[in-house]
Amino acid sequence: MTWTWFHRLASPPHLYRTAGRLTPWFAWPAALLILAGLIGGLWLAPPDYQQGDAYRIMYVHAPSAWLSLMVYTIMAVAGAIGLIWRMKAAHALAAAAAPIGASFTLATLVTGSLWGKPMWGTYWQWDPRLTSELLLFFLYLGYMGLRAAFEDLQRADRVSAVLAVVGVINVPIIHYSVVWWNSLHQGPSVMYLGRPTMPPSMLVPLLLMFLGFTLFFGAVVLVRLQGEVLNRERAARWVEEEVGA
Amino acid sequence: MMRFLDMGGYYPWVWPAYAVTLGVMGLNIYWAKRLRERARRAALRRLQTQEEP
Repeated sequence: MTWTWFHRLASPPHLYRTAGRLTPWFAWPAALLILAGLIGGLWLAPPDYQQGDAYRIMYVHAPSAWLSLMVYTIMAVAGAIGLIWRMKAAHALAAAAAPIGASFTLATLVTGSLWGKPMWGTYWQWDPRLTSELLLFFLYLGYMGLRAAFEDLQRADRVSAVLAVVGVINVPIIHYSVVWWNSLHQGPSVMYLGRPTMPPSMLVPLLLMFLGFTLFFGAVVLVRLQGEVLNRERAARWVEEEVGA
Repeated sequence: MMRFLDMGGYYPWVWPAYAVTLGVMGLNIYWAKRLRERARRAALRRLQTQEEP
């Protein structure tokens, strides 16, 4: 297996240009998938026999929750790569991803609360799933706060990467919290014991939203990554070519 | 149409949930473009400073 592509990604000009070229390939499919998911989730899917139409919140809540976990895991892996191989591009990726993950974690908490009120009778419970997701939000804030506290970008990269790597322990805790503890939050929604828990008319829009949100993250992180790469480059000739000086 | 907007009586929770999520998506697009634009302008300023004797 050749690792040439991996080494080329470490080159800032290559990374900057690749990110720019890839962005539309993520953005347009994301827009179409999310639109299809919204139509399917809001119009075509039938009401749930227990939760009525309130369950439709799931079409934005579950993909947001997925992003909150996936983005933090990407940050931890990128942080580890940055620490081990001293790869600036990996640190740039982690820094670019953090605000996106934080905002979708907040969206998860808010949409979950809006689901909780009609279903559980309360906006908030100190339940294992909710509490560990709130902790994830604070981890994101801590990561971004730590980065902002250092003027030296290289120190900010290293210190925040350590927090990302240590904090990733919370990701499996969130995911398995509904299995390990007696939680108010419902169990796995998409698959349980290897079988889907809902009919295709409900499941397909949800899968479209999961894919759409993932591609949306890809498009946004690529744009942010271009900014992060530029901020890390000082007097490079390629920057002159790119920004048209 | 009214039945759709009513969401079986759950409209006070369903529509705000969608508004918050789509709002977060819109903000992410805006923040990402702003970050890239600011980085470009800062890079341009640095290059211009370096060119001056």
